[in-house]
Amino acid sequence: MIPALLFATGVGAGALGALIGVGGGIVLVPVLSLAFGVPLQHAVAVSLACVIASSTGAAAAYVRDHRIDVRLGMQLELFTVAGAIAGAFVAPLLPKAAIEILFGLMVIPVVRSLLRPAPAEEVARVEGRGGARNLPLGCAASFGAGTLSAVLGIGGGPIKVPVMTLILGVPFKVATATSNFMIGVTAAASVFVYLSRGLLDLGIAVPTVLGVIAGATFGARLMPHVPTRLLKKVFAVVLGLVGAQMLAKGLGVDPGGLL
Amino acid sequence: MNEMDTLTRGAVEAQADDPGDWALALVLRAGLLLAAALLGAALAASLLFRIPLVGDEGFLALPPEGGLAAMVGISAHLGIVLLGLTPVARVALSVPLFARAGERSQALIGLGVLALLLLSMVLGAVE
Repeated sequence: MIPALLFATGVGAGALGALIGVGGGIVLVPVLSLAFGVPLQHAVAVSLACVIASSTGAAAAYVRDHRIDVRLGMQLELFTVAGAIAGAFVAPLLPKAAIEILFGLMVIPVVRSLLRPAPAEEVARVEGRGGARNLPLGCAASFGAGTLSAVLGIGGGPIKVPVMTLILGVPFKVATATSNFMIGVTAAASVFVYLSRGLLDLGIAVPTVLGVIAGATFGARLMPHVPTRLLKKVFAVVLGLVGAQMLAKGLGVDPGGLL
Repeated sequence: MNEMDTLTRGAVEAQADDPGDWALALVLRAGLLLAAALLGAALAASLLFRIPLVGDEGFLALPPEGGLAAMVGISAHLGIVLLGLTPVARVALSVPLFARAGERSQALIGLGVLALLLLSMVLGAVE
Protein backbone atom coordinates (compact mmCIF):
# COMPACT_ATOMS: atom_id res chain seq x y z
CA MET A 1 0.00 0.00 0.00
CA ILE A 2 2.70 2.46 1.02
CA PRO A 3 4.88 1.87 -2.10
CA ALA A 4 1.78 2.45 -4.26
CA LEU A 5 1.03 5.72 -2.43
CA LEU A 6 4.65 6.82 -2.71
CA PHE A 7 4.64 5.96 -6.42
CA ALA A 8 1.43 7.95 -6.88
CA THR A 9 2.95 10.89 -5.00
CA GLY A 10 5.97 10.73 -7.30
CA VAL A 11 3.71 10.61 -10.38
CA GLY A 12 1.87 13.70 -9.14
CA ALA A 13 5.08 15.60 -8.37
CA GLY A 14 6.69 14.59 -11.68
CA ALA A 15 3.61 15.50 -13.73
CA LEU A 16 3.20 18.84 -11.95
CA GLY A 17 6.87 19.57 -12.52
CA ALA A 18 6.54 18.91 -16.24
CA LEU A 19 3.28 20.84 -16.54
CA ILE A 20 4.08 23.99 -14.60
CA GLY A 21 7.87 23.97 -14.46
CA VAL A 22 8.48 23.54 -10.75
CA GLY A 23 10.95 20.98 -9.45
CA GLY A 24 9.54 17.97 -7.65
CA GLY A 25 11.28 18.91 -4.41
CA ILE A 26 8.98 21.77 -3.51
CA VAL A 27 6.08 19.28 -3.65
CA LEU A 28 7.75 16.16 -2.31
CA VAL A 29 9.41 17.45 0.84
CA PRO A 30 6.21 18.75 2.47
CA VAL A 31 4.10 15.81 1.24
CA LEU A 32 6.58 13.19 2.50
CA SER A 33 7.11 15.06 5.72
CA LEU A 34 3.57 16.23 6.53
CA ALA A 35 1.42 13.50 4.94
CA PHE A 36 3.63 10.41 5.25
CA GLY A 37 5.42 11.40 8.46
CA VAL A 38 8.84 10.77 6.92
CA PRO A 39 11.61 12.43 9.00
CA LEU A 40 12.50 15.75 7.38
CA GLN A 41 16.11 14.84 6.53
CA HIS A 42 15.01 11.58 4.91
CA ALA A 43 12.36 13.48 2.96
CA VAL A 44 15.04 15.93 1.77
CA ALA A 45 17.32 13.06 0.67
CA VAL A 46 14.53 11.29 -1.26
CA SER A 47 13.48 14.57 -2.82
CA LEU A 48 17.03 15.22 -4.03
CA ALA A 49 17.12 11.80 -5.74
CA CYS A 50 13.82 12.69 -7.43
CA VAL A 51 15.18 16.08 -8.46
CA ILE A 52 18.08 14.32 -10.23
CA ALA A 53 15.61 12.10 -12.09
CA SER A 54 13.36 14.94 -13.29
CA SER A 55 16.27 17.25 -14.13
CA THR A 56 18.15 14.56 -16.07
CA GLY A 57 15.17 13.75 -18.27
CA ALA A 58 14.48 17.42 -19.02
CA ALA A 59 18.16 18.29 -19.54
CA ALA A 60 18.55 15.52 -22.12
CA ALA A 61 15.80 17.12 -24.21
CA TYR A 62 17.10 20.67 -23.70
CA VAL A 63 20.69 19.75 -24.70
CA ARG A 64 19.41 18.07 -27.83
CA ASP A 65 17.37 21.18 -28.68
CA HIS A 66 20.36 23.51 -27.99
CA ARG A 67 18.41 25.49 -25.40
CA ILE A 68 21.16 25.32 -22.77
CA ASP A 69 24.15 27.59 -22.29
CA VAL A 70 26.39 24.64 -21.39
CA ARG A 71 29.45 26.81 -20.80
CA LEU A 72 27.74 29.19 -18.39
CA GLY A 73 25.98 26.25 -16.73
CA MET A 74 29.28 24.52 -16.02
CA GLN A 75 30.87 27.70 -14.67
CA LEU A 76 28.00 28.15 -12.23
CA GLU A 77 27.99 24.43 -11.40
CA LEU A 78 31.39 24.86 -9.75
CA PHE A 79 29.69 27.07 -7.18
CA THR A 80 26.34 25.29 -6.86
CA VAL A 81 28.16 21.98 -6.26
CA ALA A 82 30.45 23.57 -3.66
CA GLY A 83 27.37 25.07 -2.02
CA ALA A 84 25.56 21.72 -2.14
CA ILE A 85 28.43 19.94 -0.39
CA ALA A 86 28.49 22.64 2.29
CA GLY A 87 24.70 22.41 2.62
CA ALA A 88 24.70 18.61 2.94
CA PHE A 89 27.12 18.90 5.86
CA VAL A 90 25.34 21.82 7.47
CA ALA A 91 21.82 20.31 7.16
CA PRO A 92 22.20 17.64 9.90
CA LEU A 93 23.41 20.34 12.29
CA LEU A 94 20.38 22.54 11.71
CA PRO A 95 17.37 22.11 13.99
CA LYS A 96 14.27 20.72 12.27
CA ALA A 97 12.43 23.99 12.96
CA ALA A 98 15.07 25.99 11.08
CA ILE A 99 14.68 23.78 7.99
CA GLU A 100 10.89 24.10 8.19
CA ILE A 101 11.13 27.89 8.44
CA LEU A 102 13.61 28.05 5.53
CA PHE A 103 11.33 25.83 3.46
CA GLY A 104 8.32 28.00 4.25
CA LEU A 105 10.25 31.10 3.19
CA MET A 106 11.54 29.38 0.04
CA VAL A 107 7.95 28.85 -1.07
CA ILE A 108 7.53 32.63 -1.49
CA PRO A 109 9.75 33.02 -4.61
CA VAL A 110 8.28 29.82 -6.05
CA VAL A 111 4.71 31.13 -5.65
CA ARG A 112 5.86 34.44 -7.12
CA SER A 113 7.37 32.73 -10.15
CA LEU A 114 4.17 30.70 -10.64
CA LEU A 115 1.98 33.81 -10.60
CA ARG A 116 4.28 35.85 -12.84
CA PRO A 117 3.03 36.16 -16.43
CA ALA A 118 5.10 34.20 -18.96
CA PRO A 119 7.70 36.36 -20.73
CA ALA A 120 7.30 37.14 -24.41
CA GLU A 121 8.73 34.70 -26.93
CA GLU A 122 12.42 35.32 -27.57
CA VAL A 123 14.41 35.07 -30.75
CA ALA A 124 17.67 33.15 -30.30
CA ARG A 125 19.41 33.63 -33.63
CA VAL A 126 22.58 35.68 -33.16
CA GLU A 127 26.16 35.44 -34.26
CA GLY A 128 29.26 34.91 -32.16
CA ARG A 129 29.97 33.58 -28.70
CA GLY A 130 29.78 35.68 -25.58
CA GLY A 131 29.61 35.61 -21.84
CA ALA A 132 27.36 36.81 -19.08
CA ARG A 133 27.70 40.02 -17.06
CA ASN A 134 28.28 40.21 -13.28
CA LEU A 135 29.72 36.69 -13.17
CA PRO A 136 31.31 36.96 -9.67
CA LEU A 137 27.96 38.00 -8.16
CA GLY A 138 26.21 35.23 -10.07
CA CYS A 139 28.74 32.70 -8.76
CA ALA A 140 28.20 33.83 -5.16
CA ALA A 141 24.42 33.57 -5.58
CA SER A 142 24.87 30.12 -7.16
CA PHE A 143 26.78 28.96 -4.07
CA GLY A 144 23.80 30.05 -1.97
CA ALA A 145 21.39 28.27 -4.32
CA GLY A 146 23.42 25.05 -4.03
CA THR A 147 23.45 25.26 -0.23
CA LEU A 148 19.68 25.80 -0.07
CA SER A 149 19.14 22.94 -2.52
CA ALA A 150 21.03 20.52 -0.26
CA VAL A 151 19.39 21.73 2.95
CA LEU A 152 15.82 21.81 1.63
CA GLY A 153 15.88 19.02 -0.96
CA ILE A 154 14.83 21.26 -3.82
CA GLY A 155 16.33 21.95 -7.23
CA GLY A 156 16.71 25.65 -6.55
CA GLY A 157 15.30 26.83 -9.89
CA PRO A 158 13.40 29.76 -8.31
CA ILE A 159 16.79 31.11 -7.17
CA LYS A 160 18.94 30.13 -10.15
CA VAL A 161 16.59 31.45 -12.83
CA PRO A 162 16.29 34.99 -11.35
CA VAL A 163 20.06 34.99 -10.73
CA MET A 164 20.69 34.19 -14.38
CA THR A 165 18.09 36.55 -15.82
CA LEU A 166 18.48 39.54 -13.46
CA ILE A 167 22.16 39.36 -12.46
CA LEU A 168 23.78 37.61 -15.43
CA GLY A 169 21.47 38.94 -18.15
CA VAL A 170 20.60 35.53 -19.59
CA PRO A 171 17.35 35.30 -21.61
CA PHE A 172 14.54 33.70 -19.58
CA LYS A 173 14.08 30.51 -21.61
CA VAL A 174 17.81 29.85 -21.76
CA ALA A 175 17.99 30.48 -18.00
CA THR A 176 15.23 27.96 -17.19
CA ALA A 177 16.81 25.29 -19.42
CA THR A 178 20.33 25.97 -18.08
CA SER A 179 19.03 25.91 -14.50
CA ASN A 180 17.47 22.49 -15.15
CA PHE A 181 20.76 21.30 -16.64
CA MET A 182 22.65 22.37 -13.49
CA ILE A 183 20.16 21.01 -10.97
CA GLY A 184 21.04 17.35 -11.54
CA VAL A 185 24.74 17.87 -10.80
CA THR A 186 23.99 20.04 -7.76
CA ALA A 187 21.58 17.47 -6.33
CA ALA A 188 23.99 14.59 -7.12
CA ALA A 189 26.68 16.19 -4.94
CA SER A 190 24.40 16.28 -1.90
CA VAL A 191 22.73 12.91 -2.62
CA PHE A 192 26.10 11.17 -2.38
CA VAL A 193 26.64 12.71 1.05
CA TYR A 194 23.12 11.77 2.23
CA LEU A 195 23.50 8.25 0.75
CA SER A 196 26.87 7.69 2.40
CA ARG A 197 25.42 8.76 5.73
CA GLY A 198 22.52 6.32 5.48
CA LEU A 199 19.92 9.09 5.23
CA LEU A 200 18.49 7.92 1.91
CA ASP A 201 15.79 5.34 2.70
CA LEU A 202 15.51 3.13 -0.36
CA GLY A 203 12.10 1.85 0.71
CA ILE A 204 10.82 5.41 0.21
CA ALA A 205 13.18 6.54 -2.54
CA VAL A 206 12.69 3.72 -5.07
CA PRO A 207 8.90 3.99 -5.57
CA THR A 208 8.97 7.80 -5.37
CA VAL A 209 11.79 8.19 -7.93
CA LEU A 210 10.04 5.78 -10.30
CA GLY A 211 6.82 7.72 -9.86
CA VAL A 212 8.57 11.00 -10.66
CA ILE A 213 10.08 9.53 -13.86
CA ALA A 214 6.68 8.20 -14.96
CA GLY A 215 4.92 11.42 -13.94
CA ALA A 216 7.38 13.65 -15.80
CA THR A 217 6.92 11.61 -18.97
CA PHE A 218 3.14 11.61 -18.56
CA GLY A 219 3.06 15.34 -17.73
CA ALA A 220 5.06 16.29 -20.83
CA ARG A 221 2.53 14.44 -23.02
CA LEU A 222 -0.40 15.92 -21.13
CA MET A 223 0.88 19.50 -21.47
CA PRO A 224 -0.90 20.46 -24.73
CA HIS A 225 -4.25 19.38 -23.26
CA VAL A 226 -4.05 21.08 -19.86
CA PRO A 227 -4.73 24.77 -19.06
CA THR A 228 -1.32 25.31 -17.45
CA ARG A 229 -2.00 28.96 -16.52
CA LEU A 230 -4.98 27.97 -14.41
CA LEU A 231 -3.07 25.01 -12.99
CA LYS A 232 -0.22 27.32 -11.99
CA LYS A 233 -2.61 29.61 -10.13
CA VAL A 234 -4.30 26.74 -8.30
CA PHE A 235 -0.95 25.20 -7.44
CA ALA A 236 0.38 28.56 -6.22
CA VAL A 237 -2.50 28.74 -3.71
CA VAL A 238 -1.97 25.14 -2.54
CA LEU A 239 1.77 25.65 -2.30
CA GLY A 240 1.25 28.88 -0.38
CA LEU A 241 -0.85 26.97 2.17
CA VAL A 242 1.74 24.20 2.42
CA GLY A 243 4.50 26.79 2.88
CA ALA A 244 2.46 28.50 5.59
CA GLN A 245 1.97 25.11 7.26
CA MET A 246 5.73 24.42 7.22
CA LEU A 247 6.48 27.93 8.47
CA ALA A 248 3.92 27.59 11.26
CA LYS A 249 5.39 24.22 12.27
CA GLY A 250 8.87 25.68 12.32
CA LEU A 251 7.75 28.63 14.43
CA GLY A 252 5.89 26.32 16.79
CA VAL A 253 2.50 27.84 15.95
CA ASP A 254 -0.55 25.59 15.68
CA PRO A 255 -1.36 25.76 11.96
CA GLY A 256 -4.98 24.80 12.60
CA GLY A 257 -5.07 22.06 10.00
CA LEU A 258 -4.31 24.05 6.89
CA LEU A 259 -3.67 20.80 5.04
CA MET B 1 17.25 42.86 -28.29
CA ASN B 2 19.70 44.09 -25.63
CA GLU B 3 23.44 43.50 -25.61
CA MET B 4 23.53 40.87 -22.87
CA ASP B 5 20.75 38.87 -24.47
CA THR B 6 22.85 38.93 -27.62
CA LEU B 7 25.89 37.66 -25.75
CA THR B 8 24.21 34.76 -24.00
CA ARG B 9 22.13 33.89 -27.00
CA GLY B 10 25.41 33.90 -28.86
CA ALA B 11 26.78 31.31 -26.47
CA VAL B 12 23.76 29.10 -26.99
CA GLU B 13 23.88 29.64 -30.73
CA ALA B 14 27.58 28.76 -30.82
CA GLN B 15 26.72 25.44 -29.23
CA ALA B 16 24.18 24.60 -31.87
CA ASP B 17 26.80 22.92 -33.99
CA ASP B 18 28.66 21.23 -31.17
CA PRO B 19 29.06 17.58 -32.15
CA GLY B 20 29.10 16.65 -28.46
CA ASP B 21 25.54 17.75 -27.75
CA TRP B 22 24.02 14.52 -28.97
CA ALA B 23 26.53 12.58 -26.86
CA LEU B 24 25.62 14.55 -23.72
CA ALA B 25 21.91 14.01 -24.39
CA LEU B 26 22.55 10.29 -25.00
CA VAL B 27 24.47 9.88 -21.73
CA LEU B 28 21.71 11.61 -19.75
CA ARG B 29 18.93 9.62 -21.37
CA ALA B 30 20.72 6.25 -21.19
CA GLY B 31 21.70 6.78 -17.55
CA LEU B 32 18.16 7.68 -16.57
CA LEU B 33 16.64 4.72 -18.43
CA LEU B 34 19.14 2.24 -16.97
CA ALA B 35 18.62 3.60 -13.45
CA ALA B 36 14.84 3.41 -13.91
CA ALA B 37 15.14 -0.20 -15.15
CA LEU B 38 17.20 -1.21 -12.10
CA LEU B 39 14.87 0.60 -9.68
CA GLY B 40 11.81 -0.84 -11.42
CA ALA B 41 13.20 -4.37 -11.21
CA ALA B 42 13.99 -3.89 -7.52
CA LEU B 43 10.52 -2.54 -6.76
CA ALA B 44 8.75 -5.25 -8.78
CA ALA B 45 10.72 -8.06 -7.11
CA SER B 46 10.21 -6.45 -3.71
CA LEU B 47 6.43 -6.33 -4.17
CA LEU B 48 6.18 -9.72 -5.88
CA PHE B 49 8.23 -11.69 -3.36
CA ARG B 50 7.44 -9.48 -0.34
CA ILE B 51 11.07 -8.56 0.20
CA PRO B 52 11.51 -5.23 1.98
CA LEU B 53 13.81 -2.84 0.18
CA VAL B 54 16.93 -2.10 2.17
CA GLY B 55 16.15 0.86 4.35
CA ASP B 56 18.51 3.44 5.73
CA GLU B 57 21.31 1.16 6.90
CA GLY B 58 23.78 3.01 4.78
CA PHE B 59 25.65 2.89 1.53
CA LEU B 60 25.61 -0.56 -0.06
CA ALA B 61 24.35 -2.17 3.13
CA LEU B 62 22.77 -5.39 1.92
CA PRO B 63 20.38 -7.78 3.65
CA PRO B 64 22.19 -10.64 5.39
CA GLU B 65 19.88 -13.35 3.95
CA GLY B 66 21.57 -13.24 0.55
CA GLY B 67 19.89 -14.72 -2.51
CA LEU B 68 16.95 -12.85 -3.99
CA ALA B 69 16.82 -10.35 -1.13
CA ALA B 70 20.43 -9.40 -1.79
CA MET B 71 19.71 -9.09 -5.51
CA VAL B 72 16.82 -6.73 -4.78
CA GLY B 73 19.04 -4.66 -2.49
CA ILE B 74 21.86 -4.54 -5.03
CA SER B 75 19.48 -3.56 -7.81
CA ALA B 76 17.94 -0.75 -5.74
CA HIS B 77 21.32 0.56 -4.61
CA LEU B 78 22.80 0.37 -8.09
CA GLY B 79 19.78 2.16 -9.49
CA ILE B 80 20.13 5.06 -7.07
CA VAL B 81 23.93 5.23 -7.50
CA LEU B 82 23.56 5.14 -11.29
CA LEU B 83 20.95 7.89 -11.09
CA GLY B 84 23.38 10.05 -9.12
CA LEU B 85 26.27 9.19 -11.43
CA THR B 86 24.38 10.13 -14.61
CA PRO B 87 24.86 13.93 -14.30
CA VAL B 88 28.43 13.24 -13.13
CA ALA B 89 29.03 11.23 -16.32
CA ARG B 90 27.68 14.18 -18.29
CA VAL B 91 30.29 16.45 -16.70
CA ALA B 92 33.02 13.85 -17.26
CA LEU B 93 32.10 13.55 -20.91
CA SER B 94 32.09 17.30 -21.44
CA VAL B 95 35.75 17.61 -20.31
CA PRO B 96 37.32 15.80 -23.31
CA LEU B 97 34.74 17.39 -25.61
CA PHE B 98 35.81 20.89 -24.55
CA ALA B 99 39.50 19.91 -24.59
CA ARG B 100 39.18 18.56 -28.12
CA ALA B 101 37.48 21.79 -29.18
CA GLY B 102 40.48 23.75 -27.80
CA GLU B 103 38.48 25.28 -24.93
CA ARG B 104 41.00 24.65 -22.21
CA SER B 105 39.49 26.92 -19.57
CA GLN B 106 36.08 25.27 -20.02
CA ALA B 107 37.69 21.81 -19.76
CA LEU B 108 39.41 22.91 -16.55
CA ILE B 109 36.10 24.13 -15.15
CA GLY B 110 34.63 20.72 -15.94
CA LEU B 111 37.53 19.05 -14.13
CA GLY B 112 36.89 21.33 -11.16
CA VAL B 113 33.23 20.28 -11.03
CA LEU B 114 34.28 16.63 -11.27
CA ALA B 115 36.79 17.06 -8.46
CA LEU B 116 34.10 18.60 -6.25
CA LEU B 117 31.70 15.74 -7.03
CA LEU B 118 34.39 13.20 -6.14
CA LEU B 119 35.04 15.15 -2.96
CA SER B 120 31.34 14.90 -2.05
CA MET B 121 31.51 11.10 -2.40
CA VAL B 122 34.74 10.81 -0.39
CA LEU B 123 33.64 13.23 2.34
CA GLY B 124 30.29 11.52 2.66
CA ALA B 125 31.92 8.10 2.99
CA VAL B 126 34.52 9.31 5.48
CA GLU B 127 32.04 11.09 7.80
